[in-house]
Amino acid sequence: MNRKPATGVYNCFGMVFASRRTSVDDDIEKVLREDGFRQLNTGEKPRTGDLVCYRAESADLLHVAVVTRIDPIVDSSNQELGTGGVFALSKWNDSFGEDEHNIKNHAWDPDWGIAIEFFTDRP
Amino acid sequence: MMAHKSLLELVSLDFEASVVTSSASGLCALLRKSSRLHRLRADHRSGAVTDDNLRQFVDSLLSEFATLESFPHQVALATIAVLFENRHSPLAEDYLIDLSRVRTARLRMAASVARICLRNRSLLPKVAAKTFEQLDNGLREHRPPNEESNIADTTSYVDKDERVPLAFIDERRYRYCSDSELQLMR
Repeated sequence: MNRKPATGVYNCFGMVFASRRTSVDDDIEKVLREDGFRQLNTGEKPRTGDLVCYRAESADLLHVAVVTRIDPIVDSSNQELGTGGVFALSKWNDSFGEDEHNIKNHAWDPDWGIAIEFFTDRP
Repeated sequence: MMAHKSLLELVSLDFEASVVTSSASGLCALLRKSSRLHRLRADHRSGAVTDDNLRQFVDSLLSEFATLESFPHQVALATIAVLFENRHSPLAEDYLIDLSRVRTARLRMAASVARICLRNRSLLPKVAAKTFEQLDNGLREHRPPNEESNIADTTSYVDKDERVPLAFIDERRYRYCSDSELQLMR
């Protein structure tokens, strides 16, 4: 779902860390650390407002997006059984606007071994 | 003149989407895995895409720079930068140095990629990738079509049984590559 048209004013890191005012290119790991983000532990579920980071096999951070909603899996009596799709708001690059998408929906080759990591500033 | 297919592929939206990232080092990593770059590299090595083709292609992309508010061909320029990362030719040198010096937001990503490629390039051994064939009366050198740009990413052979990469000392002399140089070549 498209939220905003393409712009080159800010990139994904600028959307998340600089309030859409500029592009941020360097030291993203440092920004994460200094802004008090921690990686979610194994088994810890993401929540709205957490960050989803895409990392290349080379360990380069490719992209960051903000978790916007998490669809629960429910049974017929509306009892929550678990977590379904996780959706996030992304600003992909200068040629793309902002999109809300399932975090598993991206255009990278599945064989490239892109890892998905969650970060949060929750305690 | 119509550009070669493997060059035209670089300006397609689906290619841009396939390597989408906001990080220059990430773009380098994705481009190195991209089949389009592998195809372009193969075509460049074989001579199907020449340095002149690349120069004309880049010129045609940059002709749009003045007229477009946002420049849509950064990924194409970045791909050529990664192609040139381990090629030593006057064009590769000029291209990487010129692009790395650009300071404009519209070319931010491509310029950052060029700076990374230049940095990586400085780590490469100065290896002459001349290919030799063992003949009864000595060695015969094979010269690939893009002769100037044949350094560091192909292998040289001096022995018909054992293929040995050679490091360049000067125009006429070679030495065996060290293990660390071989690591960098791979």
